[in-house]
Amino acid sequence: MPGTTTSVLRTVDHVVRPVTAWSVLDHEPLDPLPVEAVDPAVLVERLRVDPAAVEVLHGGAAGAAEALRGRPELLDEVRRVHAAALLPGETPLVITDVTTEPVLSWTPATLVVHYRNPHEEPVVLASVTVTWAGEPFVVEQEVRADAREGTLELRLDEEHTLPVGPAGLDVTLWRADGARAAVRHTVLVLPSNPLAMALGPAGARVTGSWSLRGDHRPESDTFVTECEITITNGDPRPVAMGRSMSWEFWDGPVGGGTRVEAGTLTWSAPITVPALGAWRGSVHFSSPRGSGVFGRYDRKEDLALAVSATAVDGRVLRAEITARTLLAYGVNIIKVGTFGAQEHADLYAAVDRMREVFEARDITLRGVDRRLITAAQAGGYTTVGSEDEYRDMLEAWSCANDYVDVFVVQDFAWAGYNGYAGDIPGPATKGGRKDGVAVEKTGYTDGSGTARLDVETLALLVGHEVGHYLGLAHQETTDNLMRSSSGVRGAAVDYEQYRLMFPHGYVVHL
Amino acid sequence: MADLTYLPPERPRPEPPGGATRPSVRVDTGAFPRVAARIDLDERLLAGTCGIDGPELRVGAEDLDLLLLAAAERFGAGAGVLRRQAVLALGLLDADPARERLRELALSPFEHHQVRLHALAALGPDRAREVAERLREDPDEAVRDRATRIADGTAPERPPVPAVVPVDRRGAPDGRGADGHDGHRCCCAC
Repeated sequence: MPGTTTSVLRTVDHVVRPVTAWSVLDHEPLDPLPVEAVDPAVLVERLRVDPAAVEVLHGGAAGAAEALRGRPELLDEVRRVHAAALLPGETPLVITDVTTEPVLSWTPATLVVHYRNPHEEPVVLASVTVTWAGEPFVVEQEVRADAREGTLELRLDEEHTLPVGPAGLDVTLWRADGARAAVRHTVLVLPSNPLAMALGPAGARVTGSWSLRGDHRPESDTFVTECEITITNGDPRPVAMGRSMSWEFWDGPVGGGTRVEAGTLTWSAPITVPALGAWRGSVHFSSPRGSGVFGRYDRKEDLALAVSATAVDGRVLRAEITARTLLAYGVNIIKVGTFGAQEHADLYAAVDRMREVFEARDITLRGVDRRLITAAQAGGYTTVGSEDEYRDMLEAWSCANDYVDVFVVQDFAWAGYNGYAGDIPGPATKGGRKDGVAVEKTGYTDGSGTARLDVETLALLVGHEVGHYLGLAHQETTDNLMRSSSGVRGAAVDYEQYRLMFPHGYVVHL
Repeated sequence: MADLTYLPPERPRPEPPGGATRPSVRVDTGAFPRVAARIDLDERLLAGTCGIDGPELRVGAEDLDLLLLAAAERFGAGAGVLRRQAVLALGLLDADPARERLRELALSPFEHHQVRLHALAALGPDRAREVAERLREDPDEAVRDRATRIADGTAPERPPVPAVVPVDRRGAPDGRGADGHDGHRCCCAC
């Protein structure tokens, strides 16, 4: 017989990335070598490829096509060399890496941008677009002549310091002839005071910015609330924390409303927050019917969760966050054609990132169905070349559930579009020429020659088209998800947009 | 459909410590006319990527050099969408260098298939058909399929009746489901 009080179901310690390279979605370092100037043996050794693959590349594209007809098994290796080498005559501007020291709150920071520029024209302009808990901002900087040797520094000065939390740094360089290179780098800003704690929702890559969700589990008639806890340490010494933390659910403001339930949780292993680093863990609360938390969730009332932790040296950390039941919709992610293993992983990373975008406005995913139309089954719909083809595909294929069909095709070769929605809003029934959205897969080849998908772009692209399907029109406000241009599209969804999606037939309360 | 009775009021969002804005710092690009032209071109290339109310792609002969440059930028994820838009825009120009570049890209076995497919589309039906003939045996499946359809002038084959999309048997890429939870579903009554 289950009890009638909220308890801790379990706790999980997470592996934490370095705070100076916080996101798994960041660019990977690149360093393409000029194929003409490098001993082929160096490329063969570095890339572990057949020497013939390097030779094929020397022959240029036309010669390569001929050579590969004779040895088709070389294709993957040739592509690896191509991804890591500059062909004769190629002089692109390439950002090879971006590095920083750990960034501390309210403290100026310097980004070191490493680049390769084989062209005679110099790099003249550098910029960083910062996405953080506030509005995005841009810092541009003219590149001095004495800094044009493959490394430059971009400075965020006293006017551009940041609070504790993650910050996305989109770095772009321009060369005098108009060539451009861009990468994304993410850091976790550490507290300069120097210890802080933040709470975030399940599976979040960032913390402290939105609500936890009360997730009803019909099989056990409980609400489960998963909370991620991040402790950041801006001190150059590690900090040992006590293994126990206290928690309290409040109806109304913490300390000013009614305390609904409270308890303690104990981590299975000692917690050490590394020097100039972070520790992350997640805790799952289970609230059975009859518990105070269950009742509030059941009545769609907001709660506040407060967590308190104590360092071994006596410092006390507290953090709080809203907890509520969320709206939710489901998606059928329909791969059309062949996706490699890394592309598959990138696609679902993008879906996860899209979930975060909607959760920041209290809408989550109630399910993700993984579907596949193989190239053989697709009958040519692996690429979409016109509106007719797009709508024919929606009509020809469907998933028999009440989720939004999201077709991810190999390419949109049609009028410069990379995504399209069946209608605004799309129907809450299946069948016909409007029931779904489609996007191109946003592929590229990374520095190792692996076919990848651009996770951040794809996440916003799928989110944008699903937004149309759930009733949203274009909206050209700063950083909004529904901006028509994918060059300036952001992750923001406002309350009016939330209100518009609320009544869609595929949107339900969890 | 969610019950509108439960539509919560907009709750105040706490402002980040130190305020929600920081002043942007811009450089006057007047001293770098090619950079200014490139920034303007990039904005135009990305302005109409959504099929809903998307403005038409607008480029002119004066953009040719920068489009060729953008279409050659192949390193890193950041260049992907922009590069493909540049490739497509080359097809809007009546210029031999643009057509030649598109032909090279479409035929190159090194290039990512999305770039090649964009190049094929940008060539226009007649020129694409000529190139597509040479791609019937291409090792890339998506390129080969599209090229065969272009060469034969055939539309995609639809299933005879609306079909249910099959389940993808490939598992989740990590333990955590895309609903954010880590896949743990307790079988007891917890």
